[in-house]
Amino acid sequence: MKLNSAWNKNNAREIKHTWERYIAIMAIIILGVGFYSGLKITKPAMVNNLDNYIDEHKMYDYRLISTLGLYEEDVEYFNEQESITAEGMITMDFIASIDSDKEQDNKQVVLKAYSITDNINKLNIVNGRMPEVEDEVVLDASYFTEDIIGAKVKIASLNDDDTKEAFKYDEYTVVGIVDSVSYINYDRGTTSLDNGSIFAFIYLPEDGFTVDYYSEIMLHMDSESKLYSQEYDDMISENEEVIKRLLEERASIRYQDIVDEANEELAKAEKEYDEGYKEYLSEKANAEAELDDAWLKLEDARQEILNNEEKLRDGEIELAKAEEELREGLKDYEDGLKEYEDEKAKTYDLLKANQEELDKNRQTVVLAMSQIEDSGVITQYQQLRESIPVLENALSTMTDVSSEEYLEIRIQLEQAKGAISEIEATGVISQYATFRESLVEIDLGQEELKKGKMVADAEFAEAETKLKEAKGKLDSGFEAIEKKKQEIQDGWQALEDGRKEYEKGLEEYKDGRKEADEGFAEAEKELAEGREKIDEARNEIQDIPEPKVFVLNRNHNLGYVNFDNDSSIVEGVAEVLPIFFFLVAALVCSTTMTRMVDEQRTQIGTLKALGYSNGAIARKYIFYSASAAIMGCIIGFLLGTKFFPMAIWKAYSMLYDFSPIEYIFDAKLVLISFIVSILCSAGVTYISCKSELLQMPASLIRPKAPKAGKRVLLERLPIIWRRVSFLHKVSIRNILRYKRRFFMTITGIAGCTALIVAALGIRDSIKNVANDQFDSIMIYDFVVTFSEDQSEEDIKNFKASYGEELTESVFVSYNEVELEFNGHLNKTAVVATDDPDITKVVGLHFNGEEVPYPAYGSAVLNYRLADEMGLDVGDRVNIRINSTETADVEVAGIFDNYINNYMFITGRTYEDLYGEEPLYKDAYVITDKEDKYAVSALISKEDSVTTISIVNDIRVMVNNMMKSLDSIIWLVIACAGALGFVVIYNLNNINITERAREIATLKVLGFYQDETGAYVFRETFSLTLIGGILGLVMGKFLHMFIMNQIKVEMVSFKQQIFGVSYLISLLATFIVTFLVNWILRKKIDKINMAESLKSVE
Amino acid sequence: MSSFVIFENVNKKYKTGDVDLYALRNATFEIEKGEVCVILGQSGAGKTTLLNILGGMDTLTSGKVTLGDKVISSLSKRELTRFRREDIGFVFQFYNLIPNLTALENVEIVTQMIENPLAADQVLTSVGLGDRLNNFPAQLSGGEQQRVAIARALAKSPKILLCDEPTGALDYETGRQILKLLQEQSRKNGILVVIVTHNSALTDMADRVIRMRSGAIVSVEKNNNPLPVEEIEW
Repeated sequence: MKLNSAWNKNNAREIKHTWERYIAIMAIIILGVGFYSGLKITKPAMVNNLDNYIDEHKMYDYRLISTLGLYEEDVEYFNEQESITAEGMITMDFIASIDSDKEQDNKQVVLKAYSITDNINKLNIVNGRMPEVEDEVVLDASYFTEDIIGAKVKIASLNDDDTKEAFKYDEYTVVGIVDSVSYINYDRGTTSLDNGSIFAFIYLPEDGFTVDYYSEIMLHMDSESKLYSQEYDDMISENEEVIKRLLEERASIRYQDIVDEANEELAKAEKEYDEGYKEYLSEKANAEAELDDAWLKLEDARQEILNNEEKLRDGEIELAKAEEELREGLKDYEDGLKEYEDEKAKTYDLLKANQEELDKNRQTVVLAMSQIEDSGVITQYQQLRESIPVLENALSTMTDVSSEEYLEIRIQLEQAKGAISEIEATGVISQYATFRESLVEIDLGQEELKKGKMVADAEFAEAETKLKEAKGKLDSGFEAIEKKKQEIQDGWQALEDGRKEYEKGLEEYKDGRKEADEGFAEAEKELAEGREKIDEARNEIQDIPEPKVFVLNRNHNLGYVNFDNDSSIVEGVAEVLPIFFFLVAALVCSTTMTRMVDEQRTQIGTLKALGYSNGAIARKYIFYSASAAIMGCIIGFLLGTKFFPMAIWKAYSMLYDFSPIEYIFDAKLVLISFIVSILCSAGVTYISCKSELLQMPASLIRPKAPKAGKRVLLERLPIIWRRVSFLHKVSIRNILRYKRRFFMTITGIAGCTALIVAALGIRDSIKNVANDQFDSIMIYDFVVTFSEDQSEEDIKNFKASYGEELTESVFVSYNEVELEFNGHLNKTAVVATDDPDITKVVGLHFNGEEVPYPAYGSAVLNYRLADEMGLDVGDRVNIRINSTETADVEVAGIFDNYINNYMFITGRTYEDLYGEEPLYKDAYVITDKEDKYAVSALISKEDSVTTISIVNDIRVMVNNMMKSLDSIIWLVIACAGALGFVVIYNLNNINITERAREIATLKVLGFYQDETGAYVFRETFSLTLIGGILGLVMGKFLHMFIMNQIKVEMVSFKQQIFGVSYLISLLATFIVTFLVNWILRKKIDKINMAESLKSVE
Repeated sequence: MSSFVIFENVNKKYKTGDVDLYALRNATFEIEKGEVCVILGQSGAGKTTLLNILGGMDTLTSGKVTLGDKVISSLSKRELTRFRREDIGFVFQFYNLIPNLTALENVEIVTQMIENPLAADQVLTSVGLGDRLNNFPAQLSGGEQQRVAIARALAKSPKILLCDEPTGALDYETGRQILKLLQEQSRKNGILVVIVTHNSALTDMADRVIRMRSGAIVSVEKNNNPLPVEEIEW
């Protein structure tokens, strides 16, 4: 074909004159391509966006946590590993009071504090700057505005001491707000503080903390893999084992260190104890010895005192005896003395009386003698006489009788004796001698008396001497006794003193004893305590838990996982919806081009007659549709790939707000869009116009025989047909006259309705998943996870201690296992319990009917699981116990469940299956308290509780996710509306141009405006009705299909479309139809009646 | 007989660019009831414009048109539609039947619109199509189609039958039959039949002939001895 200007002009004018058709083709391609490319690009765009963000801010690939804490050496160790960057991070939950100039910002909230890291998890500054000194912080940009900059974050005083000590300062100054790549969505996690939920995060320099260990180590792998890609997942799972092993090694080193250190200290303590004990023992022995000595001494003293006392008492007794004796002696003496006195008196009285008699005799004699004497004879005699005794006496004294002296005296004595005998011879001397005799007698008497007296005197003297002697003896005895007495007295005194001393000593001893005992007791107590402490320490060492390590990858990051799920939802939709648009696009193209070729058959004939080749003419129409399609494709692609991701991103902005979405270009997508557009336009044009274009010019120049009116099937039923007014008959026949147009319209309208039904249905299905799940299935408020198996007693205790807060608490064993059936392998949670109250916290229903909790030996599982595995009630499903063993259990029932997979069995069944008792480490609990977070915070203070999942958090999260879907649904609805609009507009437009004559004739015949409109639009309405109803059905299936596509991990949606959604869909479709009719009515009004007079073209 | 249709100084002006184009200029004429009136003129003489105005399909720029007791030049758009609906029967050159309706239905489309119409099947029988009632236009010949069109026009007992080149698309014989049918309506039913044509042969069958040229009435002749259709030739 030679391109000449007339030809081009003709083609250009063609487009200008039939712009509505041209636009229609373009519009439908815009829609199709826009929808297709837009939805297709959204997930890659979203993922790319996240990928860039994560890449730029170096999100961690792993988070390493050890129950023993992590240290700089560990970080260095991991850093030394190939292609790993490691960085330690301190985290700390605390209650912050925020003190800002702005009243509304002043609040007390729970923040999660992190130390700022340099290489991993780089923060994205939204406003302000990074901290430069230790007491500066940056806050969570999702929950604070830039107004917070300059405010003070104080560590609230109600934090516990450990927390307070962990921070170097009491208050920190906010210098900026940031996004953290750890928090991809809005969720900030939970805590044991306050109300149990974390309000926002806060980052401060590492030196702003005082702690010397890291809470976790973040690892960043040198990997180019795109996130969410298989490659990445493989890389992560491949390395995870290794990293876990390394971490375990580190932890066991650390554990050994700790144990060694503790043991060392313990040994030291034990040594100290032993020394202490030894010292105690020796000191005790010393003290005891001293005390014993003292005691012995005291005892001796006491004995001595006793002895002395006895001696004294003996002495006293002896003394008493002696005294008695003395007294008796005294008495004897006194008796003797008296006797002596009496005797003496008597003797002397007698002697006196004898004397007196003698004296009287003497006197008489004397007198007589005096008279004689006076004569002097006597005297001489006397003298003689007297000399005899003396001489005799002297003789008696002389021993040597032969001595002269003795002989002299003897002579003297003989002389004296001769003189005496002379005198005596006188008679005087005889008288005298009588006298003398008398006198001698008297003298004799006297002598006798004197002798008597002498004897008496001697006797008495002797007696007296004796008495005196006795007296003296007595006196000395008394004196001795007195002395003795005194001695005894002194002894008593001394004894008393000794006793006193002894008492004192005893007292002292007792005091000493007591003191010593007390000292010992104390020492013993101290020692016991020390022992106990040591034992405790030993136990503690034994109890130092084996280190537990956790390697968390990004799949443990809620935001990261949700992002994948959320972006996949769009992808699921992108799989199907564009097909509609392209199908309709093809139909629109086909009908439009067919009509156009029909209209221009004369022209075509003429052109052919003028010598234009079939190809040239065909190219004209192909060019027409293709150019419209290509323009539509370009516009659609640009709009779609620009605005769909934007709109959807915006919809998700509530959840993910880290950076505006970037435009991404996908050449493959362009190519597909282009090819599909060309196929839908040029291809379809060629196919539908081929026969027409190949006709001979002659037949083309002739007007086409009007398409014959045709009877429709309905007319064969006169009962119905007769009741149809002729105008409706026309419509019915018109509708059925052009099959392609009919299909185009029906498909378009049905598609429009179906899309709306599906869109609303998705909303219906998704909107209430969380509510249904948590209102009627998982009725419990929290899952309380304990660190260890809870014994019956533990359970009883727990129930008792929280009886007030918790209305129900059911302890279950929770395991995740794989099930096998007919080659299907699915993961599920196995929940085992024997607590009959389980039905109060978990609602088992299926299609509204209650499903009983399985009896011993059987299981119930959720519908999605059963469905995916092809399980029916009565089947036996295999449970993988470990890598080698399996056990099977009968499926007793299937129940509705939307989030996660669950299999419920009894504890006994579990025991049978696993051959061991179930570990009751989880509890499903319900509280009737308003503030569920307060209850959760309370329970989480329990030592044995490790985590508490608050169901409401999940519900809010899911609901938010659903909400974000709303705007996408509106987008789909808008596109559906546009689709309906284009199709109906195109149909009507074709119909009106095609039937301009008919319409003009009717006008001439006197049809009122309404009637003319109705004549045309009745057809549209009928088609809308048919298409709409068909659309409802299709919508149901489409909905089903999409719902199956939207595979959100572990979530199964309730496939439901509410009646009102059907109604809205139909109504919306009709509204589109009305809108089109309203617009096109003007076009009908413009049709000139003179048209009817024109000849048929 | 009094005049049924009265045109008084009717002008129809089209503005094309700066030029005023008069499709009708000072058209003044009268037609009496029951007549067969032929308006004769070449293409562009303004006869179709005249027909359009007479049929209430077009408005006029100035002047006055009276039809019976109605001044149609002052009717509103809706009144004009009603006027067409109730008083006017149209016969088009190309029949303008609704292709999707049978012969009967094509008549019924009119009869169902108005009060007291004639029975559609009877009208069709009277135009000689009693045995083709249920045929679609495509199944009928040109003449038959034109008969359906005439039947459609007659079924509402119009006061005036307006025919735009009724034989234009028909062969000679068929054309004559149609003209006969039209003449009969005038003679038998006293309907005013206005035929617009460029075929001067038809003037012989008319009671009144209006000749036009360049939008102006050239002459209005009364033919006192109109020939029966069988006798005219062209």
